[in-house]
Amino acid sequence: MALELKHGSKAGAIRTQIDVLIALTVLAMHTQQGKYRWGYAWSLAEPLAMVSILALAHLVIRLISPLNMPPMLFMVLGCVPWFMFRAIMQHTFKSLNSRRVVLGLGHVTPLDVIFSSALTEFVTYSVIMILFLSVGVALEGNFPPRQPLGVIAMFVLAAVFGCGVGMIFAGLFRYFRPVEKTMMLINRAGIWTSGAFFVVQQLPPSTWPYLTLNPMLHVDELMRQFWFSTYQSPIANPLYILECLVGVFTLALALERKTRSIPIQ
Amino acid sequence: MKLRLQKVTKSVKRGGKSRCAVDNIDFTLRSGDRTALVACRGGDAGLLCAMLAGTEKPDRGEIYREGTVSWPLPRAKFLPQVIAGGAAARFVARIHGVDGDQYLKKILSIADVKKFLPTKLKQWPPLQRGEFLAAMGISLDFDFYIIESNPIGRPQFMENWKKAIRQLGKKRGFLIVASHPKHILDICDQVYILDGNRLLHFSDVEGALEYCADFSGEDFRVKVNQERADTEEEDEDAGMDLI
Repeated sequence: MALELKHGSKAGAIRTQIDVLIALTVLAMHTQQGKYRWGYAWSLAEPLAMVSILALAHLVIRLISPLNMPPMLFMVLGCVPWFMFRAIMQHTFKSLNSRRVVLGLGHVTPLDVIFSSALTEFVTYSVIMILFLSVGVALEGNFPPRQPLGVIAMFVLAAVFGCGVGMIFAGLFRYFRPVEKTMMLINRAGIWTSGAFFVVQQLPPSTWPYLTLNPMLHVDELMRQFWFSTYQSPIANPLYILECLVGVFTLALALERKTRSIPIQ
Repeated sequence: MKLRLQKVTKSVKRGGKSRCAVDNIDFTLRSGDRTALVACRGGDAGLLCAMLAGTEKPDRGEIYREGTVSWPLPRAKFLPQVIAGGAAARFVARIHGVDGDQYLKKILSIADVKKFLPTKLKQWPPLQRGEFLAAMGISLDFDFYIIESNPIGRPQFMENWKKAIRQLGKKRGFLIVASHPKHILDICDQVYILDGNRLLHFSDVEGALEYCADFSGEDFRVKVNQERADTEEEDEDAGMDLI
């Protein structure tokens, strides 16, 4: 006798949803870099190497160690959320094309695929964040953080924000393919305006009104503010991040709904 | 429970040209129905299976699904080839809310592929991979099974497969794609023929045979009766039931 399915009924919808998300996330981890030996380890190695090089350069040059913030932790708290935001945005954007085969399973929906892609990157970057913070704390101290929950909340918000922006681009891409190029532009511009390598106090106040439009700058500023007791951001506003999130997700879900009937190519 | 297509139309693009693959078709599969689908004169049975399984959406019309529907068996196109067999089975188990160990045990009772489980699917010998993927589908208790083609496997596996299908046919509904009604004489009790983009329903296999004879100019009934007699003789010799 075949095994009875626990999923598919409306009663267990939430349980089903969670199981499907976990299954797809684990599958993504199995398949990422799956053609290479040690598979998923390479997914960790890539961002690890990138942040290591940046942190090392920062340590060596010691260009900016502003406002009594130790350089390694300063870099980690700014760079890792930004790189995670970028990776989630890119993977969410590509997920429906690269992983559309899993839609062949009856109750896997496009949204499951999108969210599981984001979750996979979130897990990867969480591991990287924990690793770097451990090394940073071991080298530079500054532990415990001023507001640990605040740090975690900002890290999660960066991930959610990346997912929302990726979904918007994925939706627009179904109508207008060159939108992919715009995403690259945001990538390039974003890294210099998101506070990954600086805090806003190092820039002239005349630039603040423009830079503060970028919600990722608020995230990075708050990450540092919640970690270091010596830093108080003059511009960071958690409410602004939440407002942007609501806007981004409203647009993202509307686009997903609108483009659902367009075949994925 | 019922699986129903109502006035469904779907066009597909082939070589840059769009053509109507199914035109305003109605289809019903109930629990306990053992149905065959025969495609002829360019009929796209794969597309119909995909629509029933929920992986393709119609351009027009409605699809009603009461109960759970399998993916088109025996293949499992949704599985990446770079993961190990064991991981693939656990993925499918998780998606369907089934215990991974029990599921693997069930699969192994149908297909003897234990030693390949740690190996990536792309490195499996084709025969064993086919057996494994087919066993994955029938080890789960769906309300409806869509069987796109017969699996190919070793004699022991084929026997297990037939046994499993025979069991499923008692309670669950299934749709088997066949290249000709003569292949499913002893399995199915009704036939749909997808002739080009039209779907015709035959409540008995004989009617379908007659229809195929009309358009192909060859009377398959004579051939089939002969084949049936031969098969029965062989089965008596082998002491094996047909599904």
